This record gives sequence, C-alpha cells and structure tokens, in this order.
Amino acid sequence: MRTGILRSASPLPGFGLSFGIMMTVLSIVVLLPIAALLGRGLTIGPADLWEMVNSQRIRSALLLSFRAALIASLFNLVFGLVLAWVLVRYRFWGRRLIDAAIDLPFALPTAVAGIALTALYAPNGVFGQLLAPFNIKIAYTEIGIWLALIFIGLPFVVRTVQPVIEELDREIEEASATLGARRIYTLYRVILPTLTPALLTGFALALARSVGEYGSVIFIAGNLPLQTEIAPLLIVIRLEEYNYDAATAIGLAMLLISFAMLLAINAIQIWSRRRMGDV
Amino acid sequence: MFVEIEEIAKEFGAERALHPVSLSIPSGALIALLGPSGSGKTTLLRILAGLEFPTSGRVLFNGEDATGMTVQQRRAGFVFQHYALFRHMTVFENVAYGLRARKRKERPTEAEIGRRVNRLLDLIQLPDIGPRYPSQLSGGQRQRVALARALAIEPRMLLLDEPFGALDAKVRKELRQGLREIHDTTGLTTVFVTHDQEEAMELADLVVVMSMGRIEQVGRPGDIRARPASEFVRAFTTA
Amino acid sequence: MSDIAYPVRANPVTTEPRLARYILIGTVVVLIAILLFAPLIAVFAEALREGWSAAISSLSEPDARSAIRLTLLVAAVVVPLNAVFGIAAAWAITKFDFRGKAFLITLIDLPFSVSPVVAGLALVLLFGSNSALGAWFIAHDMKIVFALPGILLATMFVTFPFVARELIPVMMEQGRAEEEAALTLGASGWRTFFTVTLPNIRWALLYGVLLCNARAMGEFGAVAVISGKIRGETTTMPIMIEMLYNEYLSVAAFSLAAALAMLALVTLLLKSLLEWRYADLLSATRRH
Repeated sequence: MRTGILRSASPLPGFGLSFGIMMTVLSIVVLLPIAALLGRGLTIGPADLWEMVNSQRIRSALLLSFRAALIASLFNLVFGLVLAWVLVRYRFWGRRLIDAAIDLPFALPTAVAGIALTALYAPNGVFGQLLAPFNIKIAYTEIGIWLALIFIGLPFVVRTVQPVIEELDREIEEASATLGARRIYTLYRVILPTLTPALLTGFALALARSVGEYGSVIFIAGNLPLQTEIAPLLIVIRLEEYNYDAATAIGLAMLLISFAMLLAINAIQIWSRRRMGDV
Repeated sequence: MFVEIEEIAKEFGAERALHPVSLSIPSGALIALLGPSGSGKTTLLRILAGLEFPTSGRVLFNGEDATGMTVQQRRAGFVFQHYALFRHMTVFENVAYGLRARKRKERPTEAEIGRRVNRLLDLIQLPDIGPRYPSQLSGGQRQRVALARALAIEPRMLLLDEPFGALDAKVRKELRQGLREIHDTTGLTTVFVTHDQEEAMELADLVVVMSMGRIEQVGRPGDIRARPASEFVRAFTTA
Repeated sequence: MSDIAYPVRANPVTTEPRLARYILIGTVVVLIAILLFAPLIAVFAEALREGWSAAISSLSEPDARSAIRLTLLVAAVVVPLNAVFGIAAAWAITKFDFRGKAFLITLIDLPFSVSPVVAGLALVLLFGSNSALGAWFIAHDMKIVFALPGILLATMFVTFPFVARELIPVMMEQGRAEEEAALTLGASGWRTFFTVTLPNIRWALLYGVLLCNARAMGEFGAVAVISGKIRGETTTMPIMIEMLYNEYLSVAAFSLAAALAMLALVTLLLKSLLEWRYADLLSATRRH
C-alpha cells in the first residue's frame, strides 16, 4: 500500500499493515454499524422519526435517562473530587484498599451490580429494611436509578482528577497563603479553577456513560412506563416487538446525545489547553 | 521592621537542615543569604515567612515573638523561585489577589484595588500587561509580576527565594538593578537567597554566608572578601 | 500505613485543619463502604444463602455451564483480536504522521460514549435479516444476529478502545528513536517490533488486556440485544444471570454473579499490582 500523499516520510516500516488493520477493524466493528443506524434513519425520514420520538412514553424515557444521569454525575462530580483529594493528600488506614476499590465499577459486570444493588435496597433487603420505617423507598423508584448510575459513574471523575492533584505545585498554595489567603479561599480560588478542566472532562465521561447505561439500571428501576422506564430499555422492548423503525428513532436520539457529549469533551480539552498554557 | 532570629534549628525527620543559628536583621536592610544547595538558606527564609516552623528557637519581629504566627498573620511578601503565579488568572488578578483575599472589613474597594495594582505595575515598569496571562510573559516579566504581587499586600518585609535563578545572564543583571531600586523606594527589610556570590556581593548591604546548616560569616561584602572567617568562606566567595 | 490521619507533608500551610481532614476521610470511608463494598458483599451473601453446596450445584447446571463456556469463548476470541487491533492502531498513530489523526483517535474512543444497547441495535440493523448484508449472509447460510458472530461483534464494539487507549499515550511518550536505532543496526521491521517495541509496552498492553477482558466477560446491554437470548445457545453469563433472576432463582443467579465478581476482584488485584510496580511504565494520565 503506497500512502505517500497521506503521510510524511518515516523510516519505520509497517504503516500500510498497521493502518490497514486499524481501518478494517474500525470499519467493520464501529463505523459500518453506526452508518447502518444512520442509514435506516434516513430511509425512515426526519418527519416520521420526529413523530415516533415525540410520543409521551419515549419523551419521558429520554428525559428520565438524561435527568437521572445528570443527577448521578453531579453527585459523582462532588464526591469524586473529595475522594480524589483525600486519596492523594491524606494518609490513613485503608487508603490503598479504597484506591484499588474505586475501579470496581469498571471491573464488575453491570448486571451483577444491578442485582446486587436491588438485593440491598429492595423492601426486604438490608438497606431497604433500614429505610422502610422512614417511608423511604429506593428500589423500584427513580432514586434506585440514581443509585445504579452513581455506582457505574463513580470512577470517572476520581480517575481524571487524581493525576492532576498529584501534579499540583505546592508553591502555588504557599504563594496564596503568603498573600494572606485563608485555606478555604485558597482551595476555592486557586485549586478549584486549576482542577476545573479535569473535573469537567470526568463529569462529561460519567454523564455519557450514565445516559446509555442499561445493565445495572433495569433490575433496580421497576421499569414502569412513564415513571421508571429508561430509554435503552425502550429500545430493547421495541426490538423484541420487531418494531425496528421505532427502535431506530430512539437509538438515533441517544446517538445524538452521545455525539453532543463527545463534542463537549473535546471542546473542554481544547479550551483548557488554550487557557492554561505552560508556565 | 527589624527581625531577630534566636537559636533557630530545624529538623526534617532524622535530617538536620539547620543547626541552631542566630541572626539580627536591621530595619530596612537588604540582606543576602549566600550558600551552596543544602546549606539551609532556603529553610531559614521559609521559617521567616511562616512556611516552615522551627524545631526550636524563636523569631522576633520588632522585638515581639512571632514564632507561632501563621503565614497569613506574618504578612511577608514572598517571591518564589519559580514565581508560583496563578496561571488561570491575568496579571492584574494575580497582583490584586492578596487584597481581594482580605476579610470584607479590611478589603479595599475595587476602585482602590485597581489604583494600587496599576501603581505597582508602573513600579515594575510593565504598565500595560494587566490583561495578559502568565503563560504569555517572558521569564523576566514573570519575575517582576511576582514581585509586584508580593508588594501588593503592603508587606512588613520582602523575602525572595533565588529571585534570579531561572533567568539568563543579561536579564539577571537588569533585574538586579530593578530590585535594588524597588528596595530603595519602598525601604522594606529585604532578604534574598542566592547561591551566586557575585550577585550577593553586588546587591546586598549585608551578606550571610551559610554552609551545612550553619552560618559561617555575616558581614559587608567588602569585609567578607577582605577577611574571610573560614577556608570555606574564602573558597566560596572567590569561586 | 499508620492509623492516624496525617497529611502527606506535615505542613499546616498546605493542608486543611485537622477537623476538616477527619470529616472528609470519614465521609469517604462511609460512602465507599455503602456504595462499593456493600454490593460486593451482597453478591456473595446472596449466593451462599442456602449454603456452599447449593451455590456450587447451581453452577454445574447444564445451562449455567454452557453460559460459562460461551463467556470464556467470547473473551478468548475478542481479547486477542482487540490486542492486535490496539497494537496496530497505536503503531500507526504514534509512529507516523498523517492527516486526520486527531479525528481518528476520536473515532476509536467513540464506543465509550455510545450506549451498548444502541451498539447492539446498530449491529442488528446492519446484519439483521431485513438488511441487504444480512440477507446475503443468510443466503450463504451464515447466521450473525442471534448467534455467536453477533455476540463477538457486539463485545468487540464495547471493548474496542481499551487496548489502543492504553498503548497510544505510552508509545507517544517513547517516540521513535529506539526503533530507528534498531533499524540502523540492521534489524528487520518485525524483529524491531518484537525486540524493541513490545518489551517497552508489555505492561501497558497487559493493563489494557486486563480491562478489555473484564468488560468482554461482563458485557450485558449490547449482547442482550443481539444474542436473542436463546437458552443454552446464545446466553452468556450476564444474560443467564438476568434470566435466572427473572425466574426468581435467586441463589442460581447470584452464584453466577459471584463467579463474575471473583473475576472482577482478580482483575482489580492484578491491576493494582501492575500500577504499584510499574507505575512509571504505564501512562501517567489514565481514564476510562
């Protein structure tokens, strides 16, 4: 394969082979299926797509997926920041165990997490029984969905912010103190702005993951139409009815949300690179 | 403000950074702490600022015990070796930081802050760089901004850690002159740390030569050159 | 490790007041216990509710065994394929300059932000019986949707970026100098790769493979859509867990779940070991 126009000269061999493997696999596994989804959308036509998405059941499912993902990711934004700070800055018994456990949601299959959370928070579960006297229900309500999404989104903010905190220059904090700033003012005005790009990136990654999450949610959600039925579940239901057009419509709406978030992540990274520069 | 250091010692774990040292700094003097790396000069400077706390001994400001004062209470203008500018803030915001960080009752109005920041930017001869970010400045400009930021809090003394260490030779010479002028205009007691004997001798009224956590000699540049107190001082100041 | 909370460098200037530290550490410990440790314990507790023998015998049911076999098969096919893809992609991206590189990296990351269910749907639309491609495959007697190939494709989609995005930063940092040196010394391209490149990236590769494997064995949404959930044929372990759970066979469902949770624990253990021992050889900034 001669690709001289595409690339500048390099003495290393294997461009054709490695580029070929990459593009072939990328096309078959990712690009063609997504193109098929977009193509199906085109044949249905925008008017019909809109009509299908605009039903009350789908609207409320999309809204629920987005709202629950937003709430869970906001929780993870705050908790993830605290967690990363504590893990980097303090030494305490069990720190390494917690640090290793942060990645549990990446390693534990979502279906396992789903049934485990349901077992804990169902009315007869350990936590469910504790909360029952206070008339708090978590499983089979929207709160259960938040909980599942908090679980699966937990590592994102921690793992993006942790390395940035590790690299923070202590002199910056000392400079703030010598200028008379109290610790809380230093944290808010000097450290928080420095962490903002990483925080936003982690938040966007968690949000993107949570909006499309299926496995951990469906067990604990209860799946009542208009109340606790998430958008991915609705796709599965439509597919089981062989209603491919309706499934496509919901799928495209979700894909649009994914693309928007991918764009947001890239924009954040470009913005932060420009803003912070090198000092 | 005059500063007295009484038998200050500092240990980091098992390591001794400072053996008990004593020193008097007259009000308004320009003092150099001169020594090779590991001599304890930066540790001594950080103890003065309240960034480190001594294992034993006392620090007196104007005759009053300041050993237990926090870094915020001491109000020492500190210029860091790598300047430690806040890179998400403009130059103006950097210089205004210390004034804006004050409690509401002691905080000047925004108009007053603006006037003071602009006066300081004039003083460092960079009147137009207020809206720029630190990443857009040269090394010498950053150093002067760091100086202006330290001066903005109306410090009781000025402390500088290797203020010219990260600059090339030409800029270094210019800025030395600049520091001398700022010292003479403000009349602030000023202590700077350096490992460059030429810099210390040329700029300071009084040079404190340090080695391995001890003070080897204190004196005027000419006296130290003429009458070195030890073989180390002689070798180090003629290098 | 000490049992009192003290800051990394005991300097009151750059740390928070003691009370604030205790409150923050307390919050973290309690929330992590509730959010992460409790569900993990619940899996094993539920699996062992009727004793060890019930748990073990439910794992040896024919359907459970075929699910375990299928899951192992899927991982055994997908993980090596993804490793080859990841190495090829990282080689092309880090050792050569070409236009559109940034866009290509974005495309490789794309599966991270697409819902697994949408991925499954897209594959059904591409290879299903009412698409042209699907019809062609059926005419040639090959089943993709509701069969093993579909499960493999779906699993590849969701695990797609894992190896590549571990390798790209590491290889970017290492540059081309060592490979160029090997070539000037007369080594062939393959020899250069196996004797120079591969030893440099082996720990990052292992790290990516580990994460890829965990996700491959645990994928649910994409596989649920494309597998058709044919009992004993296209049910992987996570799908089997769902079926058993919906049939109120709690011990059986949680026993399979416990087997997967063990896998997760082993993954975390190996991952932590890698991070502690080879931190400098893995990329400094990691996220998934």
